[in-house]
Amino acid sequence: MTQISVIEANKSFGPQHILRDINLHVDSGEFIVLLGSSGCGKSTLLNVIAGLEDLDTGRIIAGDQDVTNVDSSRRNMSMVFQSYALYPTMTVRRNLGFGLRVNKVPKAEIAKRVEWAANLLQLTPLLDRRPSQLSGGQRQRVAIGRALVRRSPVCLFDEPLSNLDAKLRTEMRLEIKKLHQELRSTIVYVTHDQIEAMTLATRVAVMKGGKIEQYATPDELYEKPETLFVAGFVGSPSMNLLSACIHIEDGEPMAIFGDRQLPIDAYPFRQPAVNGQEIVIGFRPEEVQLADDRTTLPTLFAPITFIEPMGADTLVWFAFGEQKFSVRLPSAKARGLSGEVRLAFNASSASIFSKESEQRL
Amino acid sequence: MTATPLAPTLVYTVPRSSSMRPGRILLYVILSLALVYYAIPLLLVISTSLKTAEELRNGNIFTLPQSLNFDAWTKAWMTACTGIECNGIHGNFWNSVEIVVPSVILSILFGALTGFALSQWQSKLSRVILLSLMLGAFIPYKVILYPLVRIFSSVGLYGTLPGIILIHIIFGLPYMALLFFNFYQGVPPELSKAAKMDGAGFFTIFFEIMLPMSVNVLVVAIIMQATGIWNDFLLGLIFAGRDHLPMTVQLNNIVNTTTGVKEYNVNMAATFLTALPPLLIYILSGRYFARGLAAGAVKG
Repeated sequence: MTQISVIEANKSFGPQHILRDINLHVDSGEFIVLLGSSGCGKSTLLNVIAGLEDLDTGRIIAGDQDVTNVDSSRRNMSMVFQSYALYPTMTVRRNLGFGLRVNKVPKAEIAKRVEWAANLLQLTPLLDRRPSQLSGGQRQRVAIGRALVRRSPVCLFDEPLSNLDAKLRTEMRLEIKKLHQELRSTIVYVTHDQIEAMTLATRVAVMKGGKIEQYATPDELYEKPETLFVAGFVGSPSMNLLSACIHIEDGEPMAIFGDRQLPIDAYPFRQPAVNGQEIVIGFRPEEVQLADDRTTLPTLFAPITFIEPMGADTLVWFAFGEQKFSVRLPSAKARGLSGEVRLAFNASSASIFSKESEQRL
Repeated sequence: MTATPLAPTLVYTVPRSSSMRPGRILLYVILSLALVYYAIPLLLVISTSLKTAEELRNGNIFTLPQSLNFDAWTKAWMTACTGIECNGIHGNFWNSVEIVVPSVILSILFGALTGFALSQWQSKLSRVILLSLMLGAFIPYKVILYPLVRIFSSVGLYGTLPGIILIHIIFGLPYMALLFFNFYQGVPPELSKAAKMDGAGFFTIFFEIMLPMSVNVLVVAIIMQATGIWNDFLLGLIFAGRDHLPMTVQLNNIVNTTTGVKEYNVNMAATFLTALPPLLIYILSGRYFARGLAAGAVKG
């Protein structure tokens, strides 16, 4: 199939610099998710890859061809739009077949592929309806089907699930993942939903302010966020981020929270820690445990502020002075907790960021 | 949109007392007066056209015809005279058809294409073009008649059928382009983007996706252009040439030809026959017209 490279891409709308020196390489058959909150430039980046927006500077390579100046209709990519963008005057059948017809595919082949897509997406009974007679989920499937029948090596998705309700979204997410595993086309997928990103992607590019903050596998993104923004954005419930100060005693770095101190010598610092440096220490709610007698990890006492049951797990909120943080515990263990609790922190799996540069230390 | 059944509370019911309110009564009085005001001339035309010469001499304009006598209609159609020729207006009816049909189709086609192109292409230059189209729609055409005559005669189009058709296309273009531009601006841009991704070019997108969506606007455009061009007098008189004079010009010639007694019944019949096509268009398409205008209004 096809690999895609975006090289030194810049794009402005008037005074707004939407894409800033974007470099992105997508391997053939990968499922890349562009993740970010609205206005971060992720949709613009997708449109640039699609050729629906022109770049100010930079290049787009698809396969072994420089497509920077190739019209979107000649890039041989298919796209699923957030608003579905089904052709309102055509039946589902004609919607699905339109791209093939325009590309002069023989009629018999069109019929075959439309049937195949309709089967795959369970659209067969709807083939002769118009888009206005379909529900949101059905329209969504037609939009995906329209992209699939093309069998184009590159498939672009622009927030395709954001208009669906929660249940349907989960279903469609699975469908899309299954489709990718079957068809193995290269997919670039835009979303602001980090769960979609984590479940679907082979790699995720987290974007903020027109830049890619981190481009990594979902696991790496979750376990080793490169920046404070990624740490806060990825994961639900989100990572606890506590401001602290480094204090080095006998060569052993400690994180100081007010009157508490936590040894962090187990953390794999990239450069040696600096005494007095302002940091933000991040740990996932599930990485903190209740300490018992066998605990060898550093421990701290913390007062419980409130308890949030979530079914299988319970989120217990603690506070170090003004700074709140949550710990995810099995519901059975959380029951009956109150007052001050001794918690065990594993610094080796934590993330520590410089407060000033917001980069991982 | 999905067809959702209306909740019972949303069903609009006419309040019973409203028919008794003074405002309501006033409204009906005004509407009735307007109806009379517009209907009387038309009814007089029809009634006069059905009278014989005898009845015309003896009665006044408001007396009703004694029988349904279509002699005046036949005469107007076949043998009414202008000067020495006595061929009625039937030939000019076909002249008008020959002018109206291609003019309507082509002016709408080019107008829709221009409107679509402008809606797709957003730049400084496109805004300048849009503005000049707007100016074009508001300039009274009498102002540029003379230069147009000179231009057309210098390229040999003056007084020819293609010439008069071209004139109607040119004068129809600004308004048609604005009408369609307005509509296509309201169409979600993703539609043409999706078609582009599907590999469709400009004309494919226009003919296969945009034009089929524009039925309501097309109906409005057809009504406006067909009635406008059919009713045109001045352009036909100046640019059509002797062999292609439209019905309106011939009507004027018949009415203004005085040999002996004025045949009011024939004149009225000719008038009615000339006015009939636009009248039929309005009556047959009124529903679409209202719908299309409303669609345009919401989008604009």
